[in-house]
Amino acid sequence: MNFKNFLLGGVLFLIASVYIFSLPPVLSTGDGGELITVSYALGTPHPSGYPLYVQLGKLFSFLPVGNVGVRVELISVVFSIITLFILYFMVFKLSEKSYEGYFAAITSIFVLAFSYSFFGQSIVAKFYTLNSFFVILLLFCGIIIVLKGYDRRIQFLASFILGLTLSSHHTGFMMIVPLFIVSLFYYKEFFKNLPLSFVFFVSGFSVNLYLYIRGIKENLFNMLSVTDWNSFLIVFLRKNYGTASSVDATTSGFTNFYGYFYAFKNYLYLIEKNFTLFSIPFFILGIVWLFKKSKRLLIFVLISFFIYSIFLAKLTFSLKNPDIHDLYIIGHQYFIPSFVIYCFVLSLGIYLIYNIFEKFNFYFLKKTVPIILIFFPLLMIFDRLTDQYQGKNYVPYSHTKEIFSSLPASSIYMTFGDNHAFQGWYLKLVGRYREDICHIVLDDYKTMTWALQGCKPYRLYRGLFPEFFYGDLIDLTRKKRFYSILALSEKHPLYSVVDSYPYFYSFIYVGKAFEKRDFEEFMKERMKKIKPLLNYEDCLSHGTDDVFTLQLCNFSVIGYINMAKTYETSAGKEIAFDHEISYGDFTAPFKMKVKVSEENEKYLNIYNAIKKYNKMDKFYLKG
Amino acid sequence: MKKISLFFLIAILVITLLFCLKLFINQKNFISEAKNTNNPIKAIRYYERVILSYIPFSPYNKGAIKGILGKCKSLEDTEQKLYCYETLRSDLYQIKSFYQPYKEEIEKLEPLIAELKSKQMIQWKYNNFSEKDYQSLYNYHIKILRYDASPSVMWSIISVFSLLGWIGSVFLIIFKGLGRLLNKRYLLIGFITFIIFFVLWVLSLYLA
Repeated sequence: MNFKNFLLGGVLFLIASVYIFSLPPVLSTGDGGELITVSYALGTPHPSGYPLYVQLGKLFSFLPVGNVGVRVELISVVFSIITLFILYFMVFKLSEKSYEGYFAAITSIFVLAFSYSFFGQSIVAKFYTLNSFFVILLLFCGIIIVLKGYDRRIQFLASFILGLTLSSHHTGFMMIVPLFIVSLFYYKEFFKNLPLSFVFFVSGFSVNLYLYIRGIKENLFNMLSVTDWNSFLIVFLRKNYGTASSVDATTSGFTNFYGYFYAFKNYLYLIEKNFTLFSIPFFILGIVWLFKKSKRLLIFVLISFFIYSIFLAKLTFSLKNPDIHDLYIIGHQYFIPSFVIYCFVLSLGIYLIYNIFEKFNFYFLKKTVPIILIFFPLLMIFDRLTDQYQGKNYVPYSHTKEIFSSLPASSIYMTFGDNHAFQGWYLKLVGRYREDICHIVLDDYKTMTWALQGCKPYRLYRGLFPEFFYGDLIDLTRKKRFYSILALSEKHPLYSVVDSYPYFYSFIYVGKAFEKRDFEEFMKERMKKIKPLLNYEDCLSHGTDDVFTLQLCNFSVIGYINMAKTYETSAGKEIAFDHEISYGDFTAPFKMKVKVSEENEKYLNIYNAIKKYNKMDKFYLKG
Repeated sequence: MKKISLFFLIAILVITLLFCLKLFINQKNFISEAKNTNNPIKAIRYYERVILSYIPFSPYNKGAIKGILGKCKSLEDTEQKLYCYETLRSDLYQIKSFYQPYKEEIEKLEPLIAELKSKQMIQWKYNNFSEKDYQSLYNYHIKILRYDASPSVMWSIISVFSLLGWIGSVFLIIFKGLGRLLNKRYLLIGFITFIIFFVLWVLSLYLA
């Protein structure tokens, strides 16, 4: 093994080590719980179904080490490393395997690997690194055609990969635009081979058959079942997302052109946060290098970059003032392929500088700067280990588990929103924890339509929950077996018949007509009983700025206020808690007065400590 | 091409080894934390994390299972006992791969869990159950505990490998069969393997 390969191996080894040690130990927040559950169950997740990711997840779930959750998270690490390798390979090849090109390539993979969002997506159970892998592979196909001339095999390969992208995250398919433009330079050969290309495209696309085959079967978990052509279109085109459906979202790229201003502004903000503004001159120099190398290459790369940066931002991120959720859900995830292309161009800019050193006979600089420059992005490791490291983040797992553990046998547990629901599904369906609980998920805060994935098969649960299955929910509240993460407000249909009271990390629903004094006694008794389950350590040591983790911890503080209330004495200073808990667009009031004395002071100290440790402005992209 | 294949092989090997190292360090840390705490619920939590960092043949696996079972026996409160047994059962399910480690432990735990849940439902004063309902409640619980809706391991393995198989055969057709000149031998091999793997993929997905 020569020195170059040895160093490259060492670099990738270092990156893989940091990623692996930063993986959440059981499951990541958000979609993580759902994607792990679906992979384990060979089921169907939320639209567009992601059949390729799910099947890869199933493959990884067979690894005989660790737990199912962390195994599925490994997919992201693997595809990150492969993406970084291809990035290196492309730059190294373009520089004609020169010493300078080698160091420029190594520098760029460090910059990308330890940038905030790429790092973040490389350690969670999500499909964005797989998507980046497809995008960089297609970019590579285009570069080969431009530089080496037309090769029909590359056209077939690109067609097949484009088909595959439609079984993963659909944004990968947007590479069809730059590839089509490149094809026009070779239009005779391109059109001649188009019919066979279509066959390869269809064969790649046929991975989506998975959705139908697994949809017609009774399955451990299907978010939406595909059973016919119509249901396939609903899932595949994400029709149930309304204006965010695939077709509507794409159309929005060609309307309201003023939105491009905000798209540019917001995207520039992401570049600043991920790579700093100092990276932009290198990017511009990279464009200069591409121009000098080949105008066709420049056109191809710039169109690819535009599609995944400004155009995608116009579709999803052209907001005047993106809030923390927009930054976390859109800004932190969707633009990973554009960051890969950005780093590719950036490395060519660095390479150009090294060429300038040579041209002007700055031999000393030419030999030393490439080596020194490698170490700069390494400094970012320390940033990532303080904001993205999730190696100790047990919160999504333990928070859900403690809620389940606090419920009496055979209770209904109702959730709303992805975070609580997905983690509940993982625990109930993969972990098979507290299978006596019927976990139901509200689709919309102001309706009573719920999904019952956490309460299947119905025939087995009907005997334990006759009240629920025969529609007498009030009887279930009378038996104090109806719990939810939702505090009720007047917007919710149950509000007129049921009161919600804080119960541990959740809420209990009690019919309005019930005796209040009995209820207070019940609460005191229950809180004392479940007190040993309190786990504040995980919310004070997770070490990450992950928004959903911070939200879960902030949500859990109701448990400590409640515990303080249980142990209050008649003496003491009264503190009023008057909060609003938000559930998407809805808010519900949370009011409680607690008398603080020596007996219960420690719970309020925990409350304050958790609030302080989990401040939402800790999120790096927010700052 | 050989170099790139070698790279992938080495990368997978290295990632697996690093992954095992991370799990081993976790196991080592949590087992000592479990032994050092006097709080039984905390100890169960630490032992749980040892099991969730499962490595085959690691001595810590068995130690953690024994540790949890010891705590379960010492707990007197039925809710805490239930928490304890449920935790162990859940941990073992979460480390399931192509085989289920410690299956015999799960089989022993399930009747205990069903029993505790049935008793709790009777003792829950807001329910209208009495001792005579015990058997029917027990039956409901044990049926749910023993119901396994996860897909067949064998068919799942066949489905994912046949998917990789037919994707691989498409690559074979493209790169070996459709060069500047057609190579009929590779085209035929590629086409036949594609059909075989594709049919197998569809069938196994349905049967899994």
